Amino acid sequence: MASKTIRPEEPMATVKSAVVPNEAAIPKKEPPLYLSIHERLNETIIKRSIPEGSIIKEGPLASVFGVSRAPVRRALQMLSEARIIKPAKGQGFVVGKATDGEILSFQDLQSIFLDSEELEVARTPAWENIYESVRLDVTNCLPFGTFQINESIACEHFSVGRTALREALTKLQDHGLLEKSNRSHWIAGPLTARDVHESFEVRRLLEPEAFAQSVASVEKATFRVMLEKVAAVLRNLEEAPPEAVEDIENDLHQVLLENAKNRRLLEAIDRNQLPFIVNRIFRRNFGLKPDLPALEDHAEILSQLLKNRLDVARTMLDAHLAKAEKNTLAKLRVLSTLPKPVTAPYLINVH
Amino acid sequence: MSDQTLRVLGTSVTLLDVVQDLARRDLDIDIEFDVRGGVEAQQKGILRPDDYDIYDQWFHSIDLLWTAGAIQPIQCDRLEFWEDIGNLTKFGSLNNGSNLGAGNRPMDIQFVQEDGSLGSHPMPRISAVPTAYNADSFSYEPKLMPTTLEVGSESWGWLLSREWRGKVGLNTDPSIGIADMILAAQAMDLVEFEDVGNLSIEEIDALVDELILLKKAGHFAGFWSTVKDSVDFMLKRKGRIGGIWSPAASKLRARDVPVRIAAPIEGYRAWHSCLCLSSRLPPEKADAAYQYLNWWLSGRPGAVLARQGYYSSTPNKTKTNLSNAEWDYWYAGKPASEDLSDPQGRKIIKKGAVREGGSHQDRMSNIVMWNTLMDEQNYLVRRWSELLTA
Repeated sequence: MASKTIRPEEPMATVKSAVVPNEAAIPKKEPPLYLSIHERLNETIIKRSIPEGSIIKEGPLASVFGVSRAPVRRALQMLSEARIIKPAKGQGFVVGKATDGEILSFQDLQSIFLDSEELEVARTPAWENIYESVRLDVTNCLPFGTFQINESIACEHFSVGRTALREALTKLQDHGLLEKSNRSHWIAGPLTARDVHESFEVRRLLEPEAFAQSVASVEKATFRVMLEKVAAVLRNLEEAPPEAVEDIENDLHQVLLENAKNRRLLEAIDRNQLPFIVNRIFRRNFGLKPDLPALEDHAEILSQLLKNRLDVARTMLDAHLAKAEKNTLAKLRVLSTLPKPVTAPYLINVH
Repeated sequence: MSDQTLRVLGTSVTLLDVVQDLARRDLDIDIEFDVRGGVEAQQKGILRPDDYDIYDQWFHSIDLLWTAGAIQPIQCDRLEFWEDIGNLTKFGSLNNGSNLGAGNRPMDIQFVQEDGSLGSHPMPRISAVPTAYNADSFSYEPKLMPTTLEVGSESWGWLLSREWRGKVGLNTDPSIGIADMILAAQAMDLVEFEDVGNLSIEEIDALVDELILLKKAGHFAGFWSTVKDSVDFMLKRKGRIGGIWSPAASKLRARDVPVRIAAPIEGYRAWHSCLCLSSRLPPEKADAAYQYLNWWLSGRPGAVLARQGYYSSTPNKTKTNLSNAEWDYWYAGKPASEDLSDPQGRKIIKKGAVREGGSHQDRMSNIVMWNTLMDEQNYLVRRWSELLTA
């Protein structure tokens, strides 16, 4: 029997979130700063190196540890929740169960912590620890509107100070992924077709030149390894994971350019990564098999390199970029149908 | 529903009860219509190809489904009536010198090219089977028209004119509602557009900013996403004018609301429907699917849709399924020689009435714009939702 069903009220089945973090792209991180600080304070209090009844405050502690206040505040809150310290009547926290005693100064704290082993926090610059996470949060929201970064929430979210956060944001600005508004707000998005077109225009002007400068000094064995990766995906197109395709893209558009002598050229290319963001979000939202003609382009370019036909390879790279622009713009149009994803709490949707 | 049931996803524009009943009588296959609002059908079409066998929607959404890998090529040589497809569908115009209109025409993305992209160069495989089309405008009740306006000067600008303030309804579909507003803003000289079929970021901003101001000033009486909602909107008398489509106008007429479908001096906004095969169509259903595609070109459903004002991609086949009186009114633009009924059999056209805008030839030769996806579609949609929530 044929039947007709009208189900306007039925909600769509869960639409996959557009934000699918690329786990592989997140480097293994040190434990968060606040946990290291929590551990150091906890040990010191348990060993009774800090006299019971002393009042400790986040400002002097942050100075002693050489970190911002945010991670210290979070560590103190945890200790307070565990009743190892308790809020003092004024500012700060009282150590142990005794009544309020003396406020420990920076010097007091320094002597206590200098007596113990060197503090195991803040080994790598704080901005480096958070950079990849911020980059993914920001790039994943770019096609979905305009977002403003709330610095306070971001500092809290990552347990870092403003200096570290701003350093990470400045790096993103250098890569063309963030902008500063007239009012000095950090603004991400919206990623437009014009952005994609302009990025491709720059890449088409610069990338073939960098490619030509670089590949002459690349070992043939490298081309063979890269070609084998493409062949492996072509042999099993249906099953190829998105990471394998991203790796192949990375080989052609990044690794093969790295030997270019002109560093400014490479930096300029590096600042035009927007097309890859569209492709990544698209690939992770639609269970698509890889784009066969594009992969065949990769294979052909690498084959030409193996035959020492650098000019042919260069021309093919240019044609490949032209086709990629058309495909990327079509994908950006498809992203227009995806609902806004859930974004990191510090990314405030402006519109 | 058996495993062999053909699942058709689309909107109430073409998936009518009577069409389904006719398909059941004509074809020996089980069919289930999954009827949704335009945007919802499109989103499901893109994201869930497993959940339908046939996608029945507008040509301008094909680019999205094709890019997302949700549909598969259709073999032209399996379409019995492919050669009966009319010139409007094949060439985008009925004769040389017609107004082609801005935006993408169906034939621009009809054929699967060698490199896997969609284009106009004829090839053995196609992206979609073209079915119904129409020249759209807006509708209103003439007796409620402001006295300063007259029927002969119908313009898209009416949708944004002060005379209709507080009485205008708007479709929420970001490709269709916005097209109506582009044409209205252009007619009113509110915003200047270089190409109404492909707006720049600055033009989108200028238009949406104007519309937000108008919305806050109470210009719009309501927004809708389905034909049913648009009918309710007009029935409640909140709205007096809006992008009411032909089936909605038929429904209103069936309830004795004498709406007039405007023939704007600037020309019509055209659209074309089509059928696609899901990329996940099980091979054992392929024969049934092609049977259904062929049926749509046979003229049988084309005749049903003609009675709500739609044209068919195979007009000659459709003609043989209509009475002379019906053909003369709906296609030839002649006065109705008798009372005429809608697809459900309710009398909606009185003897002597003439279709607004004239004949098929007249109406389809005056296209100002095709429903289209712009390069900045993503930006447009984000700003459009800002308007809807403003």
